[in-house]
Amino acid sequence: MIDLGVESHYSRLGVSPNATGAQIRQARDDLIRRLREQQRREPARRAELREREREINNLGGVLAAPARRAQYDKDHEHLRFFTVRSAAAPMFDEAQDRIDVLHRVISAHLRDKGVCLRPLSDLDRDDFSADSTPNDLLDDLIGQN
Amino acid sequence: MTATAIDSPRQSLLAAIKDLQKRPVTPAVRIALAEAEFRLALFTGAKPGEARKRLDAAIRHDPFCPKLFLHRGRLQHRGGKLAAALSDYRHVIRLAPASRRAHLLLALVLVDMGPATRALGDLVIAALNSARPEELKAAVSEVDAWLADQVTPDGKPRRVAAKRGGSGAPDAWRLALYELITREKVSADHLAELLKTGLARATGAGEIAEHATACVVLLAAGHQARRVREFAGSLLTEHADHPAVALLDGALRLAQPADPAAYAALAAELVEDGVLPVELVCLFHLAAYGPHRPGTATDALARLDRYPDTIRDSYCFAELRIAVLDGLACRAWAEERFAEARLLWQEASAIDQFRVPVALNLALLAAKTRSERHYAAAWGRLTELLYLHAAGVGDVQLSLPDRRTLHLALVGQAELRHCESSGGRSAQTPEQIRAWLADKDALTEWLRQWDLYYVNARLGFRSPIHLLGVSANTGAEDRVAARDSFVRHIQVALDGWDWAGLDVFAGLATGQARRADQEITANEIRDQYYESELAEARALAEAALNRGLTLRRMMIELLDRSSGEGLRLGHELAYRQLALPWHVLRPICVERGLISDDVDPVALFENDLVSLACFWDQPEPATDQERAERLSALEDCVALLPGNRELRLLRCRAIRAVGREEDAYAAALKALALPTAADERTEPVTEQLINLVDEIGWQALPESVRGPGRSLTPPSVQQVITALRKALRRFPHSGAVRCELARLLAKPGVGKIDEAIELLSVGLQSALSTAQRAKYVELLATTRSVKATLPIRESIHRMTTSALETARKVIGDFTSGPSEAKRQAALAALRPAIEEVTEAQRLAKQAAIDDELPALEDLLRRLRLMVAELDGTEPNDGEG
Repeated sequence: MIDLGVESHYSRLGVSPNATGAQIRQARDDLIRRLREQQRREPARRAELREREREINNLGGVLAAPARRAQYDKDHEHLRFFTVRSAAAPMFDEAQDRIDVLHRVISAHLRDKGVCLRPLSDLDRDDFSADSTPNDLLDDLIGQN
Repeated sequence: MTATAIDSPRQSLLAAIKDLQKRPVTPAVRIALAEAEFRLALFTGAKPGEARKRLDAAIRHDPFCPKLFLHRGRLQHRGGKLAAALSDYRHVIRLAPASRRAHLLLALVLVDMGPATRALGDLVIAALNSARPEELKAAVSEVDAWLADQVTPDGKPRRVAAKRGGSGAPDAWRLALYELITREKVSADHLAELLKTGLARATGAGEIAEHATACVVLLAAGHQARRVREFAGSLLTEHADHPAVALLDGALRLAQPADPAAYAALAAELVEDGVLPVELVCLFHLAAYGPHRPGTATDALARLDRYPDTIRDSYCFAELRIAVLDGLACRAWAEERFAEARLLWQEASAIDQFRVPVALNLALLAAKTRSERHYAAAWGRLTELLYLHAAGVGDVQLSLPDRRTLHLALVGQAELRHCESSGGRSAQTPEQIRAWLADKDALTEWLRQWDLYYVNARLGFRSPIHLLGVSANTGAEDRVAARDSFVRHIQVALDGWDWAGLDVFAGLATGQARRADQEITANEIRDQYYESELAEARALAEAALNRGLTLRRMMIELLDRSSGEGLRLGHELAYRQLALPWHVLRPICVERGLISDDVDPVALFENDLVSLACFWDQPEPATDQERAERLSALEDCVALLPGNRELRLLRCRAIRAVGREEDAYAAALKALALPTAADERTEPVTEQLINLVDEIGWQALPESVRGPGRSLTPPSVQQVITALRKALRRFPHSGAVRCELARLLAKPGVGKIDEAIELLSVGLQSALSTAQRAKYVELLATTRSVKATLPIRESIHRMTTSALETARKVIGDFTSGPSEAKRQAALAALRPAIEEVTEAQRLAKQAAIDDELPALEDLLRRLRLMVAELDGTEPNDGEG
């Protein structure tokens, strides 16, 4: 069995390497809060849990500071792969995807009810017939059919 | 010719293009051609690949038409080629500076390109909403400045000042809004301003739908229902019947705090009534009761079970369940409840067994918990999925960075177990190499993972030159060799894995190698990535060289052991060694003085393997299983170097060692049939193979025939002939058997000299070597000469046989009971026998049958000796 040494700061926090600063801070704060609750519940393990709290605080501090995070990413490139990833579909995970999916779903829902929702941009459109330019030479040839 | 009787618009356009192509190339014709290609590209059902080609063709006909670049950019944008899309959009703005569509798309692609350009995208959207042309121009200038930085980067990311948008333009306010709500910090004022624009425009059915949808999106983004209700304004009361407003109202009802049971009931009712799409219910559920909320996993999962089957059976609900399971598992992982995390991810995997992140998380879990039970299966499954997805979409680039990183990490781990640093040429000491060779797990992993890493790393090059691993000025012949070498390496790397979809992946990878070769040959596309990927390509070549050197060190260590026990491993090493691109690595080796200019590393490695194979029977295998294993290793060596006769000779010997004479014989013949240059090295091998064939035939004879001297009752000539015939039928190329049989058949008294001649003539036709042929020729000549004197030989034979029989009889009589009468009778019988043999000798001399003379002389001498002994006198060598 190969020892992968798969501990990255991201995996310790349980966030994706692509997590935003806010998500990282949130994860760090949540973990620390839970560890403190645990310290209250399990006084016998207080020293061990305190040590863990310090560790989470430190690595959270690295990832929360953009420059330190960039340096960490550069030094541990392969660990970006060996990090727990979100398995949720993008619509549940990424704000931008959520909006895209929602917009498509609502468009289809309303279309079924006879209401046409204008596409947000040309990226959402499929019908570009209006973009054709009349061309006498071409249109004559087509008209001969 | 004109377009005629065409029954579909697409066919009409194709016919029109054909027609136009035959006309003289005038500006009008070019513009008509561009328009026709454009319409075909945008035809409903046109595949992206075809659409792209059509637009490229249209641009060649009319390079100044903005819409062509806009749509090509759009296609590339949708296909994920964002940099190319950005370039096209920017070009449209140069051709048509007032195009809002192009500016909108430019903004979107900048947002989609990620954090580095998102602020620029926001800037363009804000400028579009401001409705001030000078702001738009300034925003595009910022984009240009950023683009210029990409060409000559100064090392610092460009900072773009945040810009608040205006009140919102009809075509851009929603984009600005959606862009705004994905940010970490949302400006409440800006948000309100944009929604005010939306509400103000909500007079027609379409605009009402736009504003209501925007409010729903806002709600899904986590904004408070109370605030959203305010943004919706009078819509909820004045247009309650509008489906979009009904949807907004339903969404607002769901967003109210409620207990989970009531939420599920209301959601089911709203979906059932067609007010809400199920996707919205799933999104709202995750926001309200997702894993981020306190509570146990059991509670979170029980909440999902409250929905009716109509909702639970939907695809989106399955995704919701995975999201919940995964979120809970991530939480359990972070809190070091690993058993729970494993259960939850396994549950997610049961819903979608092809999801890579789930497989990765399970693999990480196995590594983290050092679970031997789960480790191999989990990592194997992850790797399989990374290849399967690429095979499934028909694109080796999919998950390529993940595959490369995974394999490289595994290679590094395997190396680090026995070497302090990875990859350096002087990194491994002999002790380290020995330790590594002794660690089967680490070695196997290193051997196999490195090839997978290498193949993926090569496939990752966008430059066709680097993909093939050649240099910019490599000739066509060497390029084809490089291509074939890479294709072989792909096969080597993927060989031995039983992952699903691997054959398809191999086909795709091979196709990519072939396309790279074609691209270079056709020289159609400028290799724009050559320079930027050069350093990486050199680093990969260096890694390949280090790999080759390490493999050689390992092989030398095996050779030093002089044992056939290392043959299996030796084959593995050679298999991987020969897969490396030595056409590229050899000049580097020469340049660094690792080998001299006249050394071919491939020949060197082949020689190493053959040298190792020579020890195949040392030490002597103790069991049948060991013998079979050595043979199997030799079989693999032959498969690796099928043209090598020496290896085949060793294999034949190993086959004989397991008692498969027929197979050994067939294998030897196959080896002899291989084309080979007759030189000092191959000739002895050929000779040994022929000897082996002879020996196999000879060994097929019964012991009594092979060594008649040792037998109490020597077989008769007829018995020997029968045995030889049988052996020759089994092994017709055995020269020893054939010659012996011919010799016996040609003997006087046997009466089969024609058969002997025929036998030798056939042998001559199928001789295995020049030496064997010469032997047949010689024997054939002798036999033919025997045939010419056959009547005389027959007479001689009769005479000598008669004399011998007489001698045996009288001596037998005399020795059974010696008497004077018997002595006289014996002398009387022996004297005519001597005369008969003397006559035979005379006949032989007369007919110049020299080959019979020594035997006759010997017989005559023995007869005279008998007479002398009976007579009590000295033998008389003279006549009489």
